[in-house]
Amino acid sequence: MSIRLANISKAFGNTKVLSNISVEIEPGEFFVMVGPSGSGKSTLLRMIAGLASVTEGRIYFNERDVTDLPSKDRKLAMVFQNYALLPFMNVAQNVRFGLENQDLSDDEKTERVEWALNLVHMADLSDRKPKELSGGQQQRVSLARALATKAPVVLMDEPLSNLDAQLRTEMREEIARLHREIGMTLIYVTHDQVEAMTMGDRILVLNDEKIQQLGTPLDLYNHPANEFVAKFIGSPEMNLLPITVNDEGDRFSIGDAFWTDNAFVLPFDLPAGSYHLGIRPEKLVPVSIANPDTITAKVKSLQQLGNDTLIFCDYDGQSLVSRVPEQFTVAVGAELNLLLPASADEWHLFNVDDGEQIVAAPEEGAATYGA
Amino acid sequence: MTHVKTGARYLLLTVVAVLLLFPILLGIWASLLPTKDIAAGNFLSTNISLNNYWQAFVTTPIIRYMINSFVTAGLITIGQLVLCTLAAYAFAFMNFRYKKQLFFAFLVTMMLPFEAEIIPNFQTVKAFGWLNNYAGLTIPFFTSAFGVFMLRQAFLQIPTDLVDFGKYLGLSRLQFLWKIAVPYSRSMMITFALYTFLTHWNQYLWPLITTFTDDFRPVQVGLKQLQSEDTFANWGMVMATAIIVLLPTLILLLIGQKFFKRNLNAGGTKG
Repeated sequence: MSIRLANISKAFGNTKVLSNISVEIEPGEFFVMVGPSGSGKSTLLRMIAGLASVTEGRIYFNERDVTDLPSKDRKLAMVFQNYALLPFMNVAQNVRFGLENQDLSDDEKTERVEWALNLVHMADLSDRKPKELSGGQQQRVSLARALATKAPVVLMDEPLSNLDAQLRTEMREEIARLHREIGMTLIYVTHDQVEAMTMGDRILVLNDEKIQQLGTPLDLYNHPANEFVAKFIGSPEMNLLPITVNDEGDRFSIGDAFWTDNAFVLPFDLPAGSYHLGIRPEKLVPVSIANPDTITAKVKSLQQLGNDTLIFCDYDGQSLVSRVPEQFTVAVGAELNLLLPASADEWHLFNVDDGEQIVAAPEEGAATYGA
Repeated sequence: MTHVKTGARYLLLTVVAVLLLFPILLGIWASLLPTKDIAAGNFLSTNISLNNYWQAFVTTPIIRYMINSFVTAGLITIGQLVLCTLAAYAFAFMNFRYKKQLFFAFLVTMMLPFEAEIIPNFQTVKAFGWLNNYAGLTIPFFTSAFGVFMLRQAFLQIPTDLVDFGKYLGLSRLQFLWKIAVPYSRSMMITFALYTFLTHWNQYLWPLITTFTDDFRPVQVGLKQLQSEDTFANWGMVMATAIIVLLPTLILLLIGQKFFKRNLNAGGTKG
């Protein structure tokens, strides 16, 4: 089922939480809505579910207007953060309860319950009560309950945020598998950018009432539309440095002014002025010998992750982080030479005033410069 | 040091327990003795028998009193469960004008002592012709602010996700109440039912002024009747009836103990 949101706005009293959201979700898509808490992502999901009223705009399922349709008539299933299982029913009864008010024969219901419990590998525990299950198992039951309805649309509201890190990774894989096997349209809300990146076909980043960006995970990572997305997607977050480009447009200094004796060569031409330069931590590489393209920063702390090392540095009062894909040792307090990326696609430029991305594509020769 | 402390604690508990249990134990003992031994102050008599109980069942309307009490307390419990649940649902899940004010008014009635309502209630019941009748004994008690408050608190503890789940399943209000809210709060409902039953089993003042015949008189009033009437001198038998009346209370308390402990102290903690 395709879902189209047309100019959706939502206000609680005088407080606006969403304004003018328009999105089209393809049938069978794994669509993730991500944003910090308070960004309105859960509200948007609840509006799609029919649990919250729409202040303005329309919602279409398969091009049919469902804005005023009650939740039960929208043919969708929902998975909640707190599982919403009934504590007085066992696993099988809980799954069956999701089929309440559906016009199915008893045999059909039993069949569906078995099918769904098998899918989530919970058939063996079907007569347990929810409190005898772990959090991950409870969420599996909740998934089974949603799947048993065979609804063409499944909505998930932060389904993994109550689970510990290990279980979360396991359940991420599980949900992705179920989506592959069943092929329903899945709308998934999370505040966790890792979940968004690893699971979604497309990601909608919400903040500040608005859509910040909509795209595939790699789109968002490689071409963040603004500073918010740049910092929100990716961990540790992207380094952002203020830079100033000289009048000739071929050299720049880090900071609010251009200094000839402290300037670097631009990898491509830019109009003179101030910008914010974003560099992913893995593109800020430590090198042993200083050269004209390196900056010298002071090491503040190190985080050894085993496969990666995160080096937190200070450059002229500016915090920087570099990520090295190996076990790297350097003394805290030591000076470290960091090589600025030379390739244009490793540069992310943002407007100083509004944080919007400045698209500079010198390779194609069709550079579009921002304001 | 800790031994001394524990010892002292047990000693104190034992003293309090003996003090509290003494009248009951004395009553049980006396109910087994012939009245003439009691009258003679011969409490250490060995003439123990169940004669008094036999006599109580045969010569007094104690069984009738018990039936009356069961019917009265039972009807009130059912009435309160139904009506308080419905009111609690409205206060917990529905939005309507003046909800807060109305709930406040409900709570205020909790502060009013029952004695203050007796005269107007009596007039009302009398006007309906319900005196000396089960209707008069039960209908004035079919709701209670305490019950509405207690069940509302229980309903408010139902997770919002579960409420949303009910909505998207398309459950009607009554279906939600019956299939989710009530079973979810069942231990609170049981506590409330036991509490209501016990309270009304022990009611005295209202039945005293609204019942005139043994056909409707409940046990507590009946007991008083036994003492003041023809059997006033038969202490052994009066004691036996008192113990009989006490039994259902004790049994219910024993059954309900775990619910009481869990729920009457429960504040905002999740169940």
